[in-house]
Amino acid sequence: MFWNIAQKEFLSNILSLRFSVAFLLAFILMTLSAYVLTSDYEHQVEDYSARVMAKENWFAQYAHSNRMAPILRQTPKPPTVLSALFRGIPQDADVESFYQSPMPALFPLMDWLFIVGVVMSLLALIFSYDAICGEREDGTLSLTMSYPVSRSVVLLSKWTGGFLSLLMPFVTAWFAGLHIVNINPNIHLSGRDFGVLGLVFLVSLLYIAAFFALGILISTRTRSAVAAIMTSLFVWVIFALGIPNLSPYVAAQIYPTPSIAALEHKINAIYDEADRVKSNAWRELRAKGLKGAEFEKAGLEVVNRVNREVNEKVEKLKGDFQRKADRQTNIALYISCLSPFPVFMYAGTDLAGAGRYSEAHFNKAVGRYISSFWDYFNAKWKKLKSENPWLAGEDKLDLSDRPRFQYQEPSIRDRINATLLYIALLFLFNIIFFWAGYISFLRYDVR
Amino acid sequence: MLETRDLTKVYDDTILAVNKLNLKVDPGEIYVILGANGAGKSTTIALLLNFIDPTSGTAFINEIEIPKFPLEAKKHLAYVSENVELYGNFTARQNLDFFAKLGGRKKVSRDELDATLGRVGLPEESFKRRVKTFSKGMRQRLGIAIAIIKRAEAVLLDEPTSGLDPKGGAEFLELLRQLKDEGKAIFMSTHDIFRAKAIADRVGIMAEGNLVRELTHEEIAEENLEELYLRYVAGYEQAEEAA
Repeated sequence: MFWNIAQKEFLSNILSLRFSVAFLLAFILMTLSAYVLTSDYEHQVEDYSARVMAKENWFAQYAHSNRMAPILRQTPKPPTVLSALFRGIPQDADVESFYQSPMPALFPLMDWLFIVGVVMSLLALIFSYDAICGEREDGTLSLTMSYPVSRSVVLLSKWTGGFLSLLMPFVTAWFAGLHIVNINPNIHLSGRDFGVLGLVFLVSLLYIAAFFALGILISTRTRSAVAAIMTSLFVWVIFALGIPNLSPYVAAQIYPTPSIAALEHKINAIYDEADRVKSNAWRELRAKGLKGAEFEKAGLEVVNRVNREVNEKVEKLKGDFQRKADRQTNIALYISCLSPFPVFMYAGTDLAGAGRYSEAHFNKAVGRYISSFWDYFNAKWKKLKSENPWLAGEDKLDLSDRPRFQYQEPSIRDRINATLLYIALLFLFNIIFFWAGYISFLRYDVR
Repeated sequence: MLETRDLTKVYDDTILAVNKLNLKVDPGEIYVILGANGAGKSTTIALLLNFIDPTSGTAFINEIEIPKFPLEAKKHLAYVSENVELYGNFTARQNLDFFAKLGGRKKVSRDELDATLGRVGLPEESFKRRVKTFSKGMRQRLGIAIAIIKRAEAVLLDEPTSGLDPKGGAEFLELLRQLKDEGKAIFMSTHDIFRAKAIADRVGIMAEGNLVRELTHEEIAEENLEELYLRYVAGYEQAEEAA
């Protein structure tokens, strides 16, 4: 019974026009995206090499201790091979390479996660919206239910057959796109890359399955296919566009944070106040009659004290701002998790090494590198100063033996751990949608 | 064979669709239920197929209580609905094969499929044609073929002749006669009095959920069924209004 209905559902979909359209759409988009992103990856690699080289040149030619900090903070993230398929959070390198054109900002390049997230979710709804109500209209549902087959078997088998038919265009397009990446001589996919690809593939299936179950739920809540497709489109817009785009704004309403401009204004006020305090202190020192080395010593003490206080205040302000911004981001993230689309994007980008987790991992690595660099630099400075007491901040230094930034991407295990919650949420969406569809179908008038 | 006992269905606690219906259809008998739209004919069939649960009362097929054992009961029931679109992208053969397997037939030979399709009068060239190219009459024939291949003891038909031309309707009734001769119990709802008269062994007239009159084969032959039908349906409505 189960396989009969599943097989019928599968064949019925494969023979339909929507299957041909889905096949073409998935194939064209995924292969084209793979081709374009592969070229983009090559540009990224070139750009990254140029940046590393520029940094090397800077250190060789202008390595002044008082200009070191901003250069260190500009450590670029090396492009990953998988960015030929999954872009995730855009790197500076990409933005700069298009700096002359506003088009990429207006119409970002579609990567595979976007295609799965947007296109495949829509196709999942198109494949499932009439699974129940469409058959009711055709009279085949009542005919089927006149046979000794339970509603749970009918629903589960329809889900299975329909989902498998939807997977055909997706799987074909996936492997065709992968082939395009694999035959590029400049791209070498490692075993770990294939492992990550497998994980993203599984998460994609989980996500598509959730939308397929959602389509079936809608189908059991409507009496006609027209009503079902309209409802499906409405729900899709809410899930794929509404919730992800509105969540940061809703979070900002729930938990407002001051703007960067307001923060800068406060910081500038602190600096202004510090300048005023310093001027007053110096005036008082002069009024006391201090002169020469005595005045310089007392003045330096005041400057150091005020600078220390200013730094503390500024750091506190920045810390508070960052905490508030992080909290607001987290609220936005929680709100966005009401929709499977952002959940899938978080899971997919983190698994592919192009998401928030990867960004945080990279920033930590940069932080560790900067720290180790300053350890090296302080030791070096001490040594050079002992050799040359007249050495000043603007003097060029030989830092050719400095530590270089070597980035190790997070391991697969770490990525899985970082995405477990999202994967669990995708499971939950599947269970909720299917269960709700099942309950609804139990009460559905099949006539 | 097929029996209802005080079968009652009330929708939303207010709309009485079927009221204490008691009827029995024996093997080799064609029972036609007549009634206007909303009389409760289709609801009765829906109750017999357990598409909906009865509010009270019950129904049996081969002594199996339908609301209690719906899956077991459905093994003995075949169904032909008013508008059978079937699976348009499948051929007639594929549709028949699918429903045969759904009915529990493990393997159905192509010869049996073709023989069944031929028996209901579908031309051979249509066996491998997609059903979406079929006329209404051809789809109804295929619907009967689906009911035949299930090998159920009782066949329920919900206004199967509506929309058929006179020739198609007559051929359809001939198919029902053949099924009757094979010993099937046939329960058919319609508001086509002439076809009812032509084929029924017994006729029941329903009005507002009540079985208001039952006629035997002899009574059908003797009485003017059209007049009787109009009198009962109109009379029942008037009596209800007076009450």
